[in-house]
Amino acid sequence: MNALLDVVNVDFIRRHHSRSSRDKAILKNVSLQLSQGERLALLGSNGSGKTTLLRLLAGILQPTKGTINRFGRVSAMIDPGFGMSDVLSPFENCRTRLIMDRTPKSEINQILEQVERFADIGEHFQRPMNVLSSGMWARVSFALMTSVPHEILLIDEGFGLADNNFREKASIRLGELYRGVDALILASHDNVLLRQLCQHGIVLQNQAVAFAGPIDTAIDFHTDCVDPS
Amino acid sequence: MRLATLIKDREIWLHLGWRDLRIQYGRSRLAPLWSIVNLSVSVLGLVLAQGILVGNIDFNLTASKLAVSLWIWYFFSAFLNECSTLFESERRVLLNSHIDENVLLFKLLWKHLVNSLIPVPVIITILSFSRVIHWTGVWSLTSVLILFSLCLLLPGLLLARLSVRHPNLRGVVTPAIQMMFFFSPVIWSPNPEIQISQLAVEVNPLAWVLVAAKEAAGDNLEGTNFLPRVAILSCLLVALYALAANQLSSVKDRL
Repeated sequence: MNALLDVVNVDFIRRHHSRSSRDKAILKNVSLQLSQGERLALLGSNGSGKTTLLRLLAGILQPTKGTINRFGRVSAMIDPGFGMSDVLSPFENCRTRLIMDRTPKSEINQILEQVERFADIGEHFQRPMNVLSSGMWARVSFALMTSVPHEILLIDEGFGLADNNFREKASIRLGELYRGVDALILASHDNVLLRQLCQHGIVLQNQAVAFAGPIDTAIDFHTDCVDPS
Repeated sequence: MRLATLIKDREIWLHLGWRDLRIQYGRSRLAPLWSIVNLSVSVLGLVLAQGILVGNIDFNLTASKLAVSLWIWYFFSAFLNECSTLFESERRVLLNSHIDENVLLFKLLWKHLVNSLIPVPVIITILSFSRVIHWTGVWSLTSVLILFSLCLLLPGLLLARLSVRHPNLRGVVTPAIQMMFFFSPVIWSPNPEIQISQLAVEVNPLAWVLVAAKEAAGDNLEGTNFLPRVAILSCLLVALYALAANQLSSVKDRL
């Protein structure tokens, strides 16, 4: 199988600015490979380095040591609301995000139409976001993130979904999204979702990969680490 | 600072700068009028204060020079103050996108350049009423501002990156800039008879720009050694870059 992501002996050290704090190793000697069609679960306790690893894989951060080779376009869904301002409308915020993602100009309007249709918040799509409810914010963020095509998709935690009507629609959309990507890495604490979607899992512990293998075994390993009793 | 990246991402920094202005003025009732009111009131207040303190002053000349120097000062202080908090305030963008740090710096410069255009009608009005301005003076002033803003990029980048490595620096920047206000010929003019005022002008690059701008308003750039000073300033900036290259490395791993 073709490797889409190849991570070899990657370290990441977070540099500290304060003299009283030392540089902190977030990840040590992490290696993994993601193949075409693979769905990989990323497990670990809070602070184990899952989000940092996703940022490294996406190319947002550079490893302190080691190499990461990417053989496709990597999209990361880590912080759904970044770059958004409550003074601007969802339309303007989504347009900003698409420009920041270097989306071709010719595609922006089409994607915005799709986002507006899917979010289904009516005239609020053109009103400042500070008049929207948190559920509407979530709809807009979700619609934006799932309206653009992805090749290699990295997702950090689940999405905070809105009301029940939208939740069903969003679940269908997510299912389509997962089936449509070439490869997926999903970091989540939702074991049911992980068992449903992923074939393999890796567990991060003490800044390193503690386990890599089939998803059921990975989840059991992680559960034992969290609660040995 | 790679020029190729900045050109490739020009749509990003142009859009983000304009967006920041919309956010800034979206929260204000006066919106962009605030810049106009601010400059007008400042010029009027300082001219009156100088008139009261000094006595017999040339209102037209004083108002013109104050308008130009305050205009440059606002641009300089606002840009550098915001540089010191740039990467912290844009932390989410830096940690969730591939946008280069230099693109954010350019965004900031673009935003402040556009912002500085808003009070231009006030300046042109004051200069026209004063009958000090010549049209070539407008071009000279524009070129002074553009060159000055480009010269600010490197100190701005250094300040932005140092502020992430040394957060206490942010608490020093604002008072330091305030002090520069008094040590630069913003509200006073150099007096050849007072050695300290001459010294302040000779060693302070901001003072060169202010003096050049004030003279440009009267279309008298010849007396200011404008071009040699721009050359010296450029050399100083290259030297600063060489010395500070280590401090200019990426800060994403520190956020």
